[in-house]
Amino acid sequence: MLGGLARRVALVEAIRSKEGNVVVVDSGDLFFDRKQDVDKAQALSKAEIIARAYKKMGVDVINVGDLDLTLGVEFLANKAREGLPLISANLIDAPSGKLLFPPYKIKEVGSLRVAFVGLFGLEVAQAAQKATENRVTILDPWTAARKTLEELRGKADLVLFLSDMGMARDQRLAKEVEGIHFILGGHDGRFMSFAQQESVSWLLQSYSKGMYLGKLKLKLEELGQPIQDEARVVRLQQEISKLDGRIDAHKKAKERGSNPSLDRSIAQLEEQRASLLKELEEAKTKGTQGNRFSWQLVPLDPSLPEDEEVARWIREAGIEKD
Amino acid sequence: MKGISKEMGAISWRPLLVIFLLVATLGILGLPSMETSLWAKSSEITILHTNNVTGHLFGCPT
Repeated sequence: MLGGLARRVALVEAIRSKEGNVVVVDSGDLFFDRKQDVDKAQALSKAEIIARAYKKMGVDVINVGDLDLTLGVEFLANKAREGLPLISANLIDAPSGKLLFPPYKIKEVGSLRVAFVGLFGLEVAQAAQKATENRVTILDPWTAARKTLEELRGKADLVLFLSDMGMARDQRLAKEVEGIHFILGGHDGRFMSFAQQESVSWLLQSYSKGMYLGKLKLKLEELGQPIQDEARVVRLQQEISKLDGRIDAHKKAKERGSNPSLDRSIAQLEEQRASLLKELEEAKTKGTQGNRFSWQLVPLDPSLPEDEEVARWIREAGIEKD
Repeated sequence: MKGISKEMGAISWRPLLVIFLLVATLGILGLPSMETSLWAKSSEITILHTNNVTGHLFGCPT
């Protein structure tokens, strides 16, 4: 069993007590799941506990996802009024035509200004309109992203997007919109051991159901320079190891005389291997210099302690399982 | 000669004082903005991230 809200709060607080400059964010689909029409009262009770727990752990930014609108706009609007830092750059209040929440939030972290921008998926616009009885409309995320980046010009040193659009759309966003350092995504809840690079942006997700906590550690030295993945060395070593396996298999097949065209395949694979080795040597040199990051999915396993207060809130609400 | 030298001294120090105060003020005002606009020294940030929690309060079987 992995996960648990009380465990997550305790882990965040433990990391905060050990490390400086900690920022806590959520990419969306935080409060409700897809089965809420079964018991709305219990769904609301759980969402209230999650909101209190995230407030207790000092959450800095929460992007609104489509499932967060499951019970309408009022729950989120109330939470925002109570101080929960909700953002969305493309979720519009239909009656007024204005954004429902701030499009971004800038956090001053040490000597850096870090901007977080929220995006809502366009493909779930109809479901969101149905759930909110046409109270919301969704702007084109790419247009909203470009407009928000324009507003942020000169105001931020580092730009991270919190996206509830899914990996394919995040990839498109990175390809088509310049100026994004990281996209911390969601919606499809992928397990990502390594960051994926698209254009100059890095894409990440932290799986689903709160089983893991994504930990992105940035070490920044020079403005305007690319940010490198410290795990690049490990990833390249894994790719080389896979190639070695394929080369061995081809050589064994050649010994058995099964296919005369194997020589060409082996030569191609060895060429790839030499290229990766060269890249690996470069990565080993660069890995410890310049702007860089590490990424880890921390499993919330039962050996970790729980936050007693949050555990008590859950007990008192009479909720026994999800 | 004594009177003239005193007068000359007064005239030459006043602009210097103004320039000194101007430079000092600009220096004080300029420092914070330089700190925030450049990654002048190494900065470390830890970003803790969740997504798709979907209302879960308890652990899930893997």
